[in-house]
Amino acid sequence: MAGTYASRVETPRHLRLNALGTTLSVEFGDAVPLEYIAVVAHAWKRCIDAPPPAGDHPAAEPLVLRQPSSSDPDHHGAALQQLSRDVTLRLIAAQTGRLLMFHAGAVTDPETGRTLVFIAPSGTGKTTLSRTLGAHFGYVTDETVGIDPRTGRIHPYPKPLSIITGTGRHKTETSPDSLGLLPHHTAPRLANVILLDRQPNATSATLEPLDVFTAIEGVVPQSSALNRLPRPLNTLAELLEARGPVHRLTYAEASAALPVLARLMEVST
Amino acid sequence: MNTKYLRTEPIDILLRDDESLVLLPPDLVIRLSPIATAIHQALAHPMDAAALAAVVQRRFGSPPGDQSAEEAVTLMVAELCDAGILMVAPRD
Repeated sequence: MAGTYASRVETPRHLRLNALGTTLSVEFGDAVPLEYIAVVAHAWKRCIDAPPPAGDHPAAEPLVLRQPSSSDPDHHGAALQQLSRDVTLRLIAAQTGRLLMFHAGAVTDPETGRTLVFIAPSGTGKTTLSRTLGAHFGYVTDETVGIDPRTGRIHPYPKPLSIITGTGRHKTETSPDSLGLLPHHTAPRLANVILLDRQPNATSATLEPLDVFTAIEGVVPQSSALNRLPRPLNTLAELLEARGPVHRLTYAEASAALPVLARLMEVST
Repeated sequence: MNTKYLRTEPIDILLRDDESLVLLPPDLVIRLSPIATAIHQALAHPMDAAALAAVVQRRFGSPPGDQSAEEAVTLMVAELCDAGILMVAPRD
């Protein structure tokens, strides 16, 4: 595997990730095993293969990894998770003051680009839902959605997904390709926002339309750097109101949410 | 001299009908009722509770029960101060 993916590395110790409307350079010190770099390149392949953002865009602060990661694949998990966190923080920092950004997953209609954004705190089901929906719709991200507030254009961040594998409790950063997730549309645009409300005892998946104030009260705590945008509440309200009501999705299992969200995707404008 | 109140500087205010959402640093969003919204708007400039009560009473009438408009407004102003929406205005 190392040889296969090493060929995708721009230089053996340098990766360039195109995500969230910006470019992030990741450099690996000499002490970092090439096997680990190959694993990173595999996990982040969609961001590596994505075209660089067009036009004026900010540059993310380069990420330099000097600490050696064990060549034992069993020990890559924690390092890969930390890498995901570091990449996300740098991308968000680069787009601060430019994009509306939310802790959210998103999937897009591969043909039309209509995109559902589902917002929820960490650890409440975004990745599981992204994985389920991404087998039917294009996978945009499971972590951070960046939206151009003027146009509703979404800047994809198709990062690896943190998946619990085997019988253990450890999470593995898994490539969306390895999970069979569909690629996203080339120009995803916001169609609808959903606030996730995972209730283990819910007997069915239900959608409830929300008034704009209730929606914003739910959205703001899951935003990043909202206060750095001009007129942030009004900007957010205008974006949401132009696309129909935000919905609250109450559900227990992602499989039950799939048909409900598929119908919403169909009727979204 | 009566205590005067003033609204704190929000990051943004969203108005719809008579209600509002106020965003305070760094990212605290607070929903204001129509009366709280009227108080918040009036306190763009310092005002004491009596003057504020007159503003509220003109628009919304007297409070139900035995409570005076000034008492009701004073209670609401205290809540809004606790929430960081309003503050005691510096003396001239």
